[in-house]
Amino acid sequence: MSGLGFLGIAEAGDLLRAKKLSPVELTKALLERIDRLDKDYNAFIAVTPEAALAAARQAEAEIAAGRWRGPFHGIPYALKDIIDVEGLPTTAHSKLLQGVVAAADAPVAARLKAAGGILLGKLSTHEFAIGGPSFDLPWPPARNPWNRDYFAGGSSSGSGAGLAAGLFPAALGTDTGGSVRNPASQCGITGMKPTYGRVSRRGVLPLAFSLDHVGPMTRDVRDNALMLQVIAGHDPGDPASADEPVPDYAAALGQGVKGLRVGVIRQFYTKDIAAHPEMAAAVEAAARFFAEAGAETREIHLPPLQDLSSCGQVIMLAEAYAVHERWLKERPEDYGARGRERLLAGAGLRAADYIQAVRWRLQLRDAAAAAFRDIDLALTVSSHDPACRIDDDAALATTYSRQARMAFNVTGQPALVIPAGFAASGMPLSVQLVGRPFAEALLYRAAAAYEAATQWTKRHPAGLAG
Amino acid sequence: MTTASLREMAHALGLDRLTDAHLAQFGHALEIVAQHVQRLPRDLPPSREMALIFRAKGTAS
Repeated sequence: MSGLGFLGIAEAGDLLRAKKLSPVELTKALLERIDRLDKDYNAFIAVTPEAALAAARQAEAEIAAGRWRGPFHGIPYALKDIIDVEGLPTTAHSKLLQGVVAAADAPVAARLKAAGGILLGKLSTHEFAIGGPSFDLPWPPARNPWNRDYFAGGSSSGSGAGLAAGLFPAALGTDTGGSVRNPASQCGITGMKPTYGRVSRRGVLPLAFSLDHVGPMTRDVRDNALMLQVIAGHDPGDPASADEPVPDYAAALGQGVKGLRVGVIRQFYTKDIAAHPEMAAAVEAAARFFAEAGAETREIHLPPLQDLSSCGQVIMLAEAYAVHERWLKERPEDYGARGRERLLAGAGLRAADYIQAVRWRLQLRDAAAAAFRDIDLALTVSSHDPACRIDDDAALATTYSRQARMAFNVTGQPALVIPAGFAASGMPLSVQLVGRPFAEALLYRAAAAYEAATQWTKRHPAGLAG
Repeated sequence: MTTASLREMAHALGLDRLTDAHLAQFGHALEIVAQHVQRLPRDLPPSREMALIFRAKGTAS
């Protein structure tokens, strides 16, 4: 069967269940693509072909015997390399952890394995999910499949690049200040930062405990819902894990947006930080779509984006420094320059600064909750700019400030980034949908309606079809 | 800040292995973090709590 590179979870799952496609055939096809293409995109730090083929053979035998486990059975996927898999190194893309082997699966990895998924390998990240893109690490940075001279976003950069290149249909990323949603924006794929506590963080190398989230990354909305379905749920071993019921995330797909109340957070891309005109136009076009499709749209206001960002940055840098203090004292030379500089920032914070920030966080969270009281979901920008060149240091430096993602790490709300067209440069545009806590299913419903109308997810980088 | 003053600050923090190049990065990092700290409110009411997720084990349910 040809064209397996861009087969999604739902489509592949139907074929696998009907025995029209074999997990072994699909896995071999993707391993061949990785072998042929990934030298240009550096999505992978480590590929695990033998284990993948063994898992694929097991899935094939189980499905043939009528023991189908569900929509993820026989689906190949890959993991950002800060997520533990028993027996494999978790490098965090850093010299400091090169060769350090995980003793156990992170619960998210265990859930994907139990669902019958086929792990293809571990993916590039910014060093420790904060320092990148970097050329002074043991592995090169991931590159953007829409133009390999461009930044793939980060820190879940291998996840975004590999999806856009058709190397796998599903990946996990992590998001402390936007690290699922930035590569989703820059690579033209779909990325969900779920509600804080919705998905276990245990066995995932922390960047900042109170802001860290694990999220699914896929090419389209339905696949994203299917992957969240596998990984969502309470983990008593994660102190932040929420003991909330897990709904059927795909149940409302296809119901449209008629009657939904959609708030537009226009201040984030006009008044607070002016977005690139093409990015702002993409958000406005999405707002028009929702209105024309029967939603009630209105502008809503949140605290200034800079306040939300600064609150999150202080918390993130303080917590990250606590994680890295010993290594920064003993082995500072083993960090890449970008990671070292970002992490040293936390050394300059006082205890009172951190405490003021975590007190302020509740005030900001309450203000966001008030703004969402009379709406069902909100629409705004994710990245203020399309991807820049990977060697443009000045433009790269702005990616931490010209974004509206950290705001929702601070509030803990679910936030979904979906493709929204292309800039004149040929690089993807995106929009962000934000919900009330635990309202991921509603975000998927609205995003699916937009996706079906626009078909942006059907486009793939030139030369990568097949 | 001068390299000497950065070295002194780094030493006070136990960051004794930073090279001059690392100290320059440290200085730049401090400038960035100061911009964020400047935005922190200093007038929160005393009753405003911290956002904590710690939960004690073994309490009555």
